[in-house]
Amino acid sequence: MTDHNTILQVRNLKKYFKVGAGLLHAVDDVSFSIERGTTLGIVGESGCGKSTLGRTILRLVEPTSGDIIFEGKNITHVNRRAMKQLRKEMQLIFQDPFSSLNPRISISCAIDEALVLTGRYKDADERFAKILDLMGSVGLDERLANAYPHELDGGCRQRVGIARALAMEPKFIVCDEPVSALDVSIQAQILNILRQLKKDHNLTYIFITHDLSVVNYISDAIAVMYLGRVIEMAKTEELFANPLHPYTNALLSALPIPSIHNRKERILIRGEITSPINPKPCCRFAQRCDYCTQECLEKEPPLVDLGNGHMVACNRVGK
Amino acid sequence: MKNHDQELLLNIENLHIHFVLKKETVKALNGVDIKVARGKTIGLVGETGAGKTTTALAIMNMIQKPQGRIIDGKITLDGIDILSKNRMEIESIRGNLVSMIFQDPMSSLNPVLNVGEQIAEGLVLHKHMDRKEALVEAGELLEKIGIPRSRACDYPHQFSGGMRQRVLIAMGLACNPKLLIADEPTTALDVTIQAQVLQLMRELKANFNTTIFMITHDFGIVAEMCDEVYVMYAGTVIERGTLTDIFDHTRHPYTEGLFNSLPDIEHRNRELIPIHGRTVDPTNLPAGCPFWPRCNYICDKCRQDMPPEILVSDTHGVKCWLYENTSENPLMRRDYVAEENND
Repeated sequence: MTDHNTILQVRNLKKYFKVGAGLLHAVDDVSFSIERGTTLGIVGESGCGKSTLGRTILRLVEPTSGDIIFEGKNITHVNRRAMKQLRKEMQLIFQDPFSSLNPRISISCAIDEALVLTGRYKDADERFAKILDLMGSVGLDERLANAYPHELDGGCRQRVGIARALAMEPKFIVCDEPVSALDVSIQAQILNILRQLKKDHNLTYIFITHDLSVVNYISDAIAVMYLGRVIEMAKTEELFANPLHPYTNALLSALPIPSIHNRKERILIRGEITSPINPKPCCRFAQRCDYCTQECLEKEPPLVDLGNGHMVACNRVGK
Repeated sequence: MKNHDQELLLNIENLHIHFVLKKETVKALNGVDIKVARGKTIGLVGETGAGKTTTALAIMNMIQKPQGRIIDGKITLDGIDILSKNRMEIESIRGNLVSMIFQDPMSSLNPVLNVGEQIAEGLVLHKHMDRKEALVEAGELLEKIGIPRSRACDYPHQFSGGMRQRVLIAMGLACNPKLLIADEPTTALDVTIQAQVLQLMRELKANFNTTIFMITHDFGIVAEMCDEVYVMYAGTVIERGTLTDIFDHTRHPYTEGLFNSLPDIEHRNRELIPIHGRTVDPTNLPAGCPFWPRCNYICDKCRQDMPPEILVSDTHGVKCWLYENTSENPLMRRDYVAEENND
């Protein structure tokens, strides 16, 4: 079923949270696969379930149903101990570099923690050499080895986060909004580091972000999420050249472009994201959609492949 | 000359503000000059710690004493010398003449008052309406920003982020100020909601003829909203000009670096060229031009003296020694170079 080139496959993944008002459908029937050495961007607005999806894939959040197949092995139900081994190969980089580091241990200790867990190094000296090596590869100055997180700015902390993830020598990394908290000049540094590391170590990324220009730069393919569902998925060039879902269209046109030429006409979508709690069996975007028909209110459109790997879930498409 | 002064709504001259703490002094603003003509939208762009918000707070005369010290400079708003006013006087200026929309709509509303009351508060205070009148007016303002009047009795937690930001805009516009300062008004919002709020601000500007002072770090928003741009770095304006000046004739190496750091949505294969190093520490500014440690075009002079503003055209000023003796542009902006090579 899975060929050798597929590193991760997700089938009908669901994650529902029980809340007071009912069931919150954070991730609702998501399926995709990622080829080795590529980056899948996951885009969507706050509350669309993109972070939950990333965490569910790593089983930091237990899925409600569905399958996660990593390297040909179904890891949905493996036990904690086996999962611990697997996490060496699948890592996570967090959004907030301010709260994801322990303020009481120095940078070298923070990276060392991860190295100890790998069990690959025989003594502290060997690990320290590796720490300096890792710090170098993410562009951290050696003199910062004994610095504490509060001495660093956001960009440097995010580098520490990346170094820690790399310490495990993973094959696959989920990057959860790794640059959203950073200034543009620093953001560009981090994006270039992530790109370089991917090349050097043949890494596979899931890159979660709300920033379309970032996802365009870093991803090979993009999945657009809305209220727990993937509503469109395609190769990056294809998605930007030929967006088919009305929501993708609106997202692309809402993006302010830093140029004073070729200004496009805006498509404004009305209203706001609806509640993900007990959603009705209709198209989840219907209430905000300009093309909404009776059919959209009655039937939820499935994600359909249009042939060239471009998938879209919209009743309008294919007619 | 007289005419020119009347056109000018806000004039900030040589503003220096320091925050004196126990162990160190944060040099937040080091000589800021900004001129805002009536009816224009001005964009103030820069990264964290550049002094954007401090500038805005100074216009409102909201620099907290005793740590915050205005070392030098003058702010004239509609002919009034803001910094010389005492607390009572400034309170009649805020709201009426100038008001501010803050970045974080979640924390700038009072959670225990309904939004109608909160909008009305300003009207009672500044327009001397009685409470009933003010509440009616508040309802009308809500309608103008696209929220049904019936929701005036709702509390902030019942609104989404975008709606709260709309409420803040309504509060800012309640007394029809001449100048509206918007400090990163859409940073906390999703793109589609951001597009709605920006659209609303454009409409309101057209209707009320408000002058907008927009603080942002997003050149996309600047391109869309503003007439003129001021780029700040380390508490000083390092480049200013019209949209065309800044976007198409970038002069300062820092501005160039910002543009080179932005992913280009139309040319996704264009490498990002980040600015190396990190933003300056305002407690420990380098001598000379604050940008020289990160600059690719440094000369000896940069390390010693802060360059003055050099006018490269009538509207375009830049603080960089590169233009001391020449008006030629030596910069290598990624997209310019690419276009020359017909990429």
